[in-house]
Amino acid sequence: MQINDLPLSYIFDFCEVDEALRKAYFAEFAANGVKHLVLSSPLLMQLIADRNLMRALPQEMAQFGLSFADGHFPYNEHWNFNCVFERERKSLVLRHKMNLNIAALLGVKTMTFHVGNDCFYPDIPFRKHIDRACQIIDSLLDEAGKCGVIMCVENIFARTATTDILLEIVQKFDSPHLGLCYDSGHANLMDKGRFYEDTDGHRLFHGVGNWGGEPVWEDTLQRQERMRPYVVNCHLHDNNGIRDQHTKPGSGSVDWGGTVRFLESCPRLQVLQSEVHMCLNSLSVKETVSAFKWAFQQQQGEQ
Amino acid sequence: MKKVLPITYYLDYSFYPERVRKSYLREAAVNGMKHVVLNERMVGQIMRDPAFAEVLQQEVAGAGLSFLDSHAPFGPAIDMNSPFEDEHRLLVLRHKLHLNIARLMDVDTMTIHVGNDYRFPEFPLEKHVERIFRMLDAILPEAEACKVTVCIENIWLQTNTPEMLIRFKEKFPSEYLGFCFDSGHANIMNNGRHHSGSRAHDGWQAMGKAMPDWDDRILEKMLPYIVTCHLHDNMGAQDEHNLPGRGNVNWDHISKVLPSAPNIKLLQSEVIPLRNSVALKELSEKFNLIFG
Repeated sequence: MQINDLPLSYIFDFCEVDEALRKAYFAEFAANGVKHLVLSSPLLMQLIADRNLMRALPQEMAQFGLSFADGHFPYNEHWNFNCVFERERKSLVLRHKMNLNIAALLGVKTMTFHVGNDCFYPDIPFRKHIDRACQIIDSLLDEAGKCGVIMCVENIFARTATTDILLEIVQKFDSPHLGLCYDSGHANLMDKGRFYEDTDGHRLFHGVGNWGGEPVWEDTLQRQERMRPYVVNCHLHDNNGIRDQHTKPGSGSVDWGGTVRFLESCPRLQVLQSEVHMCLNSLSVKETVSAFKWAFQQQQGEQ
Repeated sequence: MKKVLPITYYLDYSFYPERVRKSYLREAAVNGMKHVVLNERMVGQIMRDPAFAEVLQQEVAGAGLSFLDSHAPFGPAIDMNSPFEDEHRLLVLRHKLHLNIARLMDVDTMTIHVGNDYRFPEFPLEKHVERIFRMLDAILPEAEACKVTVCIENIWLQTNTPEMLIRFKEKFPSEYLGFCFDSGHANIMNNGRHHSGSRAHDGWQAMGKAMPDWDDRILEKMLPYIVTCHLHDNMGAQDEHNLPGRGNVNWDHISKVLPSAPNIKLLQSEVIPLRNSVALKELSEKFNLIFG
């Protein structure tokens, strides 16, 4: 498989803009050759309560030759799969079933989710977070199957989302509707972060009161080797190994040649996603698209 | 002895900034209001942002008020008779989530629209009825699990006449299915006859009926199954949601008959103050005058 054979989707903060600017950005993406966008977390939060926008948005996008290629379950402490608010967990399952159905209606086949971070709840035992996340997964897999959507759990810079935990989860369920989302920026933080003090990795690991040691640093190549059989989608972005900057490829310390080689070797990989946060980094569509063209040539240049 | 029912008020304030919300709730409280409606806009906000549920509850409690009843989001594509087959599974989940939000907000009734046939006149009435049956069948077990009574409301169309609501109730005799008597909608189906172009005329004509089945006994027909109500006024032509006394609803009759409904839990003002420039002071005084 060649990297350019896969659809590449771009994330954008469409919830932050009005209809006029949204359409202007659709035109901007189209003019730069983009074909796919991400059904993002904030967008889903909006669509879940706005059925008419759910129907109108794909039609709007189609006028610019755009469609959704992948999605992300909404995430924050109330939406994450380890949600600690017991009274809300039944509603959480309904919400995420709705998200799966919205994804299916919009033609999306893979949806990334977060286990959720434990660092905000030092009183709750670590295994309780994993158990809670697994309960939600168990409640959703049947619906994912009916919707034809693969749920992908993402590596983050927290101890609830190390490679060990991710593999434990996918192997526990052993389902075609469950896979992994490889996040290049998060992998970089948990590798290069070891050379710095006070990184985002330190922050999430040390936020847990009972965690005394170093974060679980992981060599990127070893991580890739372990995640490879299960990777279905990915989040591609760069950083300096210290902060989760979500910046464009080439502006940080991610090894893009190695990343492309790895992605091309993932047997279940369906889609690539730019998770570059353009607004956060004051980046244009043109610069972001160019950066991905550059990144995808790195492997070729090395051969 | 006269039954004393709590009065709950529909206040459409939740989309304003925090300081405005708190000020408006204070206005309600100092004017003697005790309860507010968890309305369809609030339910939508909580769907988008689960954390907003606690914000709303704290603000309401902070003003010395509480939520007592609720209204599900509504619209042609999300009412029970929605014809969009590819969204049916999503629609069932949507209504189940609405009911769970009501549960989380500690209210035990939720008014839901069965839907208006004239929005989709290409389908015969019985097809609408079939879709409503299917949706009630799907969501009533969730209502029971949540201990929230689904209240279906009379509107001014063939899908929500008293006879049709009774048909739904007879098909589903669950204690978690009841009626919401809407005084303004009942008035359109009664005094609408004195207007040439009322909402009822438009709706029935779209479905091929030249004249609505005017009805001056809607309250009496619904009475055995009424659990909640929407109380507001109009002149019979438009659905104004105005202050009692600003239209031609017979409030003397309603105030005598409605409290005798065997299952009624509360009285809801569905006057929309923002639409009709109604002061909360006059709203509270008017309801206490009629029902106090």
